[in-house]
Amino acid sequence: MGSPAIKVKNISLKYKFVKSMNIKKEIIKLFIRRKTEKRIKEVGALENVNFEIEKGKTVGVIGVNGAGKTTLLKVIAKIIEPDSGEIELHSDSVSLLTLGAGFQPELSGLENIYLNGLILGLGKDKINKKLKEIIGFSELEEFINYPIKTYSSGMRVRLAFSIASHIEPDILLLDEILGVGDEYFKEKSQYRIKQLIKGNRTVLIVSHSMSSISKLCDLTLWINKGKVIEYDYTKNVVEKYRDYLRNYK
Amino acid sequence: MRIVMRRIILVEVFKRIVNDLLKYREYILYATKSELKIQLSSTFLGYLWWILDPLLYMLIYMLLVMLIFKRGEENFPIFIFCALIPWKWTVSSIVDSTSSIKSKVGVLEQVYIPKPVLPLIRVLVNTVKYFFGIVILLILIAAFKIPFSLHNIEFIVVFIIHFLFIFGLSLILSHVGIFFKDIRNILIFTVRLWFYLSPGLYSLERIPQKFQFLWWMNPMTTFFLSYRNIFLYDTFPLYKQLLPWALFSIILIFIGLKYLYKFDKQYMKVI
Repeated sequence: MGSPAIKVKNISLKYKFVKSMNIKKEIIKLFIRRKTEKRIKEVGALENVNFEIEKGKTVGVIGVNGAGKTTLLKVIAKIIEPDSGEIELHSDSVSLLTLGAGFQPELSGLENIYLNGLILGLGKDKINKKLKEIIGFSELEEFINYPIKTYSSGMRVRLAFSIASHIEPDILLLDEILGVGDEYFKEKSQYRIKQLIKGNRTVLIVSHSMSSISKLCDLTLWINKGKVIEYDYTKNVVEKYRDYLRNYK
Repeated sequence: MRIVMRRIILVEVFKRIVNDLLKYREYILYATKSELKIQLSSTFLGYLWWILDPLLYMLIYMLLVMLIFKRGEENFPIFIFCALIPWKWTVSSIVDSTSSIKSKVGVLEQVYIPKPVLPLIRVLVNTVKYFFGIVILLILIAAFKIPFSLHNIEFIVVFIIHFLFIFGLSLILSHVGIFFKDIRNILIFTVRLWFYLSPGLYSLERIPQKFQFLWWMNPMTTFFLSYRNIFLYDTFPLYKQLLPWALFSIILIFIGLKYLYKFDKQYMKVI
């Protein structure tokens, strides 16, 4: 047994939809005291989620749309704080890789590499070092100096994936970034992810593609409506999930 | 006991902001640079606008006051310019800051950025433009043959205190801007009123003596008069009045930071 890299203890989280204050209503409320609808609506996203991931393991997260998968990753990446519960991470170097974290369409691809890298916590000299690799991987060549707004969506995705996959944190959270781009790039990116997984990283992958989950993950976590349904070896979980989906239809 | 608790919070908040600023300094600088670049590329004349904008405003007010009202102080163009440029800086900074967090939802959903960094970037962008304005002001001063003096150097002191004031206000407004949609409209109106209630187009002496104390409750009075003292009247800025505003600004910054940090990881659940 390796030491746990991620410990998630009893996490619950609710999204609040706050209706923006409306001056007209606020003024009316001052004069007329009547029961007004609550400004805050709550929707549960995670409920008492518990699990542990050992260092170096790759874990898949599956579930139907709206099950709370992305929310879970956001909580682990510390973008949002759970209402209750705790998360322990063995390393500070954690990043959630989604595509195109804040591309600025007016700026060139090169400038966006810097901007994106800096947001994701890479230093400038580190980016300088990896710049060639990132541009090389994206295969954008001279387009790297053109503004992003001139890119096709495929080019954008390629650049985004290249940046994201070259950050190389200790704990890697991947949100639906498997299988982007054309067939050729898809294969290339799958290969890259495999490389990332190999390097004794702890990886969490959210995906709807059961075949890639089966290929990549040691363990799989199945959540539904914010609750953990199953957390076991990938083979067992994927089988049960497939059964569930069949009955669901 | 309570005072001790307050002091602990104060120290913690300022420690955290210093840490965040150090950690994100490269991002802050790069983001400021690129935001400036985006603004430049979106217009044909580019940064000529940063020069034209205050100049055109000055012309409008000159037309209004000198030609129509037949009034105006000595060296009137410089007189209003000393107020207009700092005013423009203040207003654009705080108006831009109100949307600073809300407009970055796309990024914030994917990466964590300490929230105070965002209004800071907006303020810095406007500060760069402000420096352009100051250069124009110096050129105008030379053109009007007003002698330069050592007091010009004291600009730095007034600038820093004014910066703190703007930053404090921006922090608070960036928080309010998330929950309160109408804030922009309210601001546009309030800001206009605020300008006419500040001695920008007129000198403070025109206000009856017994009402002047009301004008001193407006920080802009101190800032405008200080800038004029430095650039136009060859004397000291109003240090005695600047000091309390400096303290006031630090309190604003503290309040702003406290809110932004308190809700730091809650915003994304709300927006």
